[in-house]
Amino acid sequence: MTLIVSELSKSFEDKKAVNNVSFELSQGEIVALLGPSGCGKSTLLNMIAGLEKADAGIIKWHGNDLADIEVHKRNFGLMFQDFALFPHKNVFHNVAFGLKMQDKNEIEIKTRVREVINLVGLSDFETRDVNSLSGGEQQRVALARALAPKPELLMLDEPLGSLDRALRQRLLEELKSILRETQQTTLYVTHDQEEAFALADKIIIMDRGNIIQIGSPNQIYRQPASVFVANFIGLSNILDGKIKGSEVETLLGTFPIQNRSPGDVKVLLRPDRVVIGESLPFKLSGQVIDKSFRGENTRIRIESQGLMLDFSSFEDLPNVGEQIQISLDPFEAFQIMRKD
Amino acid sequence: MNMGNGKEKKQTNRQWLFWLLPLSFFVIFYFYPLGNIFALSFSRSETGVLVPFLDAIQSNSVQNVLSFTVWQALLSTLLTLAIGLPGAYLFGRFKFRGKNLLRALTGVPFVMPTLVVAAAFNALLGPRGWLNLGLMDIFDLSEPPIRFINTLGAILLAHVFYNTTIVLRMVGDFWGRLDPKLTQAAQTLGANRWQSWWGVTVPLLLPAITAAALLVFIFDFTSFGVVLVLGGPKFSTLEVEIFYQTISLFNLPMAAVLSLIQLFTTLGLTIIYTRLSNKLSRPLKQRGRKITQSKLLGWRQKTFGATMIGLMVLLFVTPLLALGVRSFTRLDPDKRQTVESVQSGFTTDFYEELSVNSRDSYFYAPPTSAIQTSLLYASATVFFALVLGFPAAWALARYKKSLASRLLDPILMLPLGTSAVTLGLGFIVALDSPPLDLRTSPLLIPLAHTLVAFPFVVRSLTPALRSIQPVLRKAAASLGASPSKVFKEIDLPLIGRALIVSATFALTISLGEFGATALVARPEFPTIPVVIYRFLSQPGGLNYGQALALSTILMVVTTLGMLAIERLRIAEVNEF
Repeated sequence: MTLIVSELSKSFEDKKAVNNVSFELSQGEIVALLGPSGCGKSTLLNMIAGLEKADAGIIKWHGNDLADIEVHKRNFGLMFQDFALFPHKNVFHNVAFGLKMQDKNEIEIKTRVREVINLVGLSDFETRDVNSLSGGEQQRVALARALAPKPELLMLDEPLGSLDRALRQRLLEELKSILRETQQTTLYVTHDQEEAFALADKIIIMDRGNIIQIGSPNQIYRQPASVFVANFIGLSNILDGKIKGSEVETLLGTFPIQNRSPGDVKVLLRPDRVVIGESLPFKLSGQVIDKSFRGENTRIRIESQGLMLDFSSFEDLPNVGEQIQISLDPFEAFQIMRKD
Repeated sequence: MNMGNGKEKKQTNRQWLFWLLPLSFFVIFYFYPLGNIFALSFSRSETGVLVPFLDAIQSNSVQNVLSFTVWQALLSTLLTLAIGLPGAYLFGRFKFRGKNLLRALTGVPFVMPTLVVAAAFNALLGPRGWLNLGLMDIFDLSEPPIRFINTLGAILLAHVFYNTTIVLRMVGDFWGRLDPKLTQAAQTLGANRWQSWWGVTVPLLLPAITAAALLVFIFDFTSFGVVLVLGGPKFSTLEVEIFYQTISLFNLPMAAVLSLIQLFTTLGLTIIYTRLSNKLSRPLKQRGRKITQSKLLGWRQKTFGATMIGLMVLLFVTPLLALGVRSFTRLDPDKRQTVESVQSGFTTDFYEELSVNSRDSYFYAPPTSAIQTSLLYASATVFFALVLGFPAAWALARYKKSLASRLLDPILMLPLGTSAVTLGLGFIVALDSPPLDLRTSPLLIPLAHTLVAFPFVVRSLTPALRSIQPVLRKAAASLGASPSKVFKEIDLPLIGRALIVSATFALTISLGEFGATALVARPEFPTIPVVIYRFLSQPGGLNYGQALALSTILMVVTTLGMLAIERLRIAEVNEF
């Protein structure tokens, strides 16, 4: 493994920011650290970069402990949340900064700066004042600056956070192709599950300083480990349940499940496994409470047996106040989760 | 397009409404007296206007005065930066216990009248000061071993004592809001401490450092009281020379020439400063103290912190403390006997002696009446300075780019560089005949003080007013607030802090002003500094003690005045 983080902890004034965190990162891999703001992901990033000292735990890079290696000797690139571009330098000199620190000669610097500036699509911007750039342009300069010294590990801290939706979509695609093209080992911090799903080979979900789940985007979406993860990635239909033998009791009714040990559980009802109409074995009826048009699909909220359930569909849906029939296959649509 | 232009024109025309009052004040009480005194001075010259200039420039003594003025100002500024910059780093980047107190204490010297500062150093390092007394006691000496008063060192130290707070505040505040991520970014890109310091931190701090250094230089360049009292007859700055030429020699043409040299030098510096600050300043994201400041960690930072705190306490707190203690200390007057006979003890003699008119002087003023006079003048100054300064600041903030603003901005700073002595004399000469016969008016002194306070008021109000985002006013208006309500609910609370700072400046300047007051004040109604100077210029331990006692009173009055203003709480005041 290229990067090994083991049992890392950090507190700020009695508040645990990072709690006993361990994970690994291999060469060329893009890993996303996903979690709500304040979950400790930026602190984790700062510790790996060397900007913050860990209270306990080890960070190893190609087998070497990083504890005594100073920030500027690590050759890790860090792209800051609001870019931290040097306001007293133009685009060229911002991008050239890291290369100058490596004592490269002028020709090398010029060539490499041109190369990365082209890569991020800012060819005509070399002499521009960074303060006059738009948010999207600043983001590209920041990326170019972090990439220029060819960092062994690139870390991005909410790089698209402050941009508008359309720009974010476009830059996300560009970022992905740039990282893939250069086979850049990357650690990407975000609170946006869409960004993480679109970009990462592996996602690490954090909450209040702890790692909750590590897996591929597909695994995380298919098998969220807890109610927190499910909620965080947008799966909101969660019911209380009680397992008895090969059945689970919920307010919606009793369903057959694969064998589980008895007791109280949480049951996730996957919206993507529910169909409008009566084509699947288990049928439910409810009243449409709310309906909102989202462009490519429509979201509705249904009240059934006193529970609020959210679904989205491409089809025409009944209006607010009308009755609706839905059906599902319990083995596919229900997922038992641990209570957290 | 046309409509827009018309509206804009109407808008810029309206700015003259705001300028009306402050400009009239400036014309009547600055340009008119100054023009008058210059005209009178040159009319006395038998050789025309130009010859006194040539004489002055060719004169050896003037060249000496000029070069000494520049030399001491340069040295003082460098020393002030040498202490102020590490201090600014400590205040800007770290939090520690007692920081606010220390910060406040370092600001006290700045608002202390020059005579008090001089007296404080006298009490600490003078021939009868604590240090000499202590050393004489320990080593059985009959002469004070430290000869500090009347040396260049005394002038420099007093200037450092006075002006370091400018660097601490201007650079320290700026540093405290500088995004630490910028240096971190440099480090992740491979820059070591040294490289990120010179490549990122210094260039970004440069506007604040230049601004502070220039202001310090102007203060040192026009220094009067410190040089007069601590420098003694050996040293003379331009301002002191103007004083001598005017009062002792009555060589008005020479005094006028020297005033003009001083005036244009400071004007030139101010213009360079505005140019530079426009060129150097960059839009920076400001950060909260929570992000930028940390505790002192590790032995390196702790040693640094302890050293700086110790140094600052030594420099800024001990002299004032020495002054207070010394004013309550009796010393055996006969020091020619053995050292054992130098006895000290607690006494209130100096204070009691203040209310005794021992020399039956016609111009004697008991301390209570001097305090009363000073406070009355100071309150009037605060009132005038705010009433006149506010509209000027408003116009400068609102019509930032208009021609009027660009022209008037540096002109408003002129009183800073104008010789107080010349101005005082101008008042006497110009305002003594109808239609403006103010010679006996009690308003004369507050008006003179207002002129000196004016630049400070405008300088602290304008940035505060500029920093209010117009959208806030629009938001308030859209919520149904009338223009006067908008002013009351939005502008006033947001500039509350700056208003308090302005009022404090006006108050302390008035309480401590000496140069102009010495000339304009009616002898039977002296202000505290004038009385202190009377005591200091008379020989004897009792007079010295009384000067210290009255200085202590002035120090207390100044501090109480500052606290009273802080208490006023013009709307809800927050520090940003």
